[in-house]
Amino acid sequence: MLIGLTAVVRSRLLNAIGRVYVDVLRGVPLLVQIFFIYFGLGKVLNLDRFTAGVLAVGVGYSAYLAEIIRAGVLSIAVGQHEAAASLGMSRAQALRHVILPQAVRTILPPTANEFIACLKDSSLVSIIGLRELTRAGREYYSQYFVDFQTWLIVGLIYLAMTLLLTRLTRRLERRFAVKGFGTVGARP
Amino acid sequence: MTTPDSSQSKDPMVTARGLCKRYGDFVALDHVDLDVAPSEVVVLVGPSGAGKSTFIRCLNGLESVDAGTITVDGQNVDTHDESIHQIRAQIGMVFQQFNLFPHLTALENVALAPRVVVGLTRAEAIERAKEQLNRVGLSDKTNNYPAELSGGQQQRVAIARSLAMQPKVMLFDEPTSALDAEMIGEVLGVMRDLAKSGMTMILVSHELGFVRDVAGRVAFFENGRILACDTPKNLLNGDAHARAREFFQRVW
Repeated sequence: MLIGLTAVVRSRLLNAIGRVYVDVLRGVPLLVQIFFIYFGLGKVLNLDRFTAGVLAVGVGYSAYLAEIIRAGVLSIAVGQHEAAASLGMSRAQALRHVILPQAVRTILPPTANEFIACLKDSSLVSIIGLRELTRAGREYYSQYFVDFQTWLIVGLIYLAMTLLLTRLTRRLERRFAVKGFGTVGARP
Repeated sequence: MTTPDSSQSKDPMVTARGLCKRYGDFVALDHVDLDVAPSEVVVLVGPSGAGKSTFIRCLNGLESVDAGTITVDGQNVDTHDESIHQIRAQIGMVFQQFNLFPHLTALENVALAPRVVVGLTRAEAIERAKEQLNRVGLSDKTNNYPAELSGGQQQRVAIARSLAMQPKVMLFDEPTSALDAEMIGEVLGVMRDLAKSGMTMILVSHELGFVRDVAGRVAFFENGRILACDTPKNLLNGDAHARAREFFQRVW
């Protein structure tokens, strides 16, 4: 969120920092980032597997989210910025009260996308020995040798979690829907 | 050579001195001077691209000027200074496209800036917003969203939104140009009342009847300059401003 806003503030320094952050994190595979944070940073800062895993996935996805937020802010017509400014609002006030509340509607569906992808990509952290769902499935399989059932169950658990997220975002979309306005299909 | 203004007895509410503004090679404003007295209504007219909108947008700092100075009630309008927000809060602006906040109701549109900029409590801001919506004849639409209102109603909400900041000056940038004919009257009616109440107004408009009745002076823009600035009567009938008169005969 904060990273996304660095792109829309009037500070060259912050713009540049945000740009580099997004470009680097988007340009490196998540798997490599997990290795880097766990074996690199983790050794220096003494991070345990769980912290390193959560940090890597969280930081990696923040770059994608930042771009979505930036797109949301850019999607708001320039007249809205001008109207807010003409009423004496500072840039920060305009963002908070005028721009972001409108951008939320545009941002929600792709954000849900990212959260779902993030949830699924959490299986990558099994590589550093974290016992998450996919790894648990593999351990179960190697113990009992029931492959089809194991992966069916694992798949269903992922599906259950993502469907829950989907329902949640639908509810949010409805909550933010405004009569006769916006990009949101679902109406209360 | 720009046209000098008629001398004002009181301190002017708005002064513009030597304003210049370019967009690349295009000269939008070429040394424009204008003084507007308190409670005066000045209408800017002229062909499109003559600099009217640019001029009005410079007055509240939505556009920065390349050269020249602007003061409003004695305060310098400087887009590069933090004071700009506080000065803009004293200058109302009404846009051609209304620019209401679509996610807020009419009442919330009007109450927002008094709350977050002036610092009123929610209850005070709503009280003030109701007064202003009442003033523009929309007390029955407070809970409607902009998309549920007609163009004329939206523009009246936009005027109320500006008035709720209790501005010293109101700027209108072609406030009726985006409206269907039958809605123009209701917006002009509100503006007429506003002028009668003593509000200092600067507007871009081509509504002849309105200009004749309400304008104290008309400034004729062409090629980024004010070629003539006089009472509507003198401008339309006198011989002094041939170019301006020719324009008026063409458009009206």
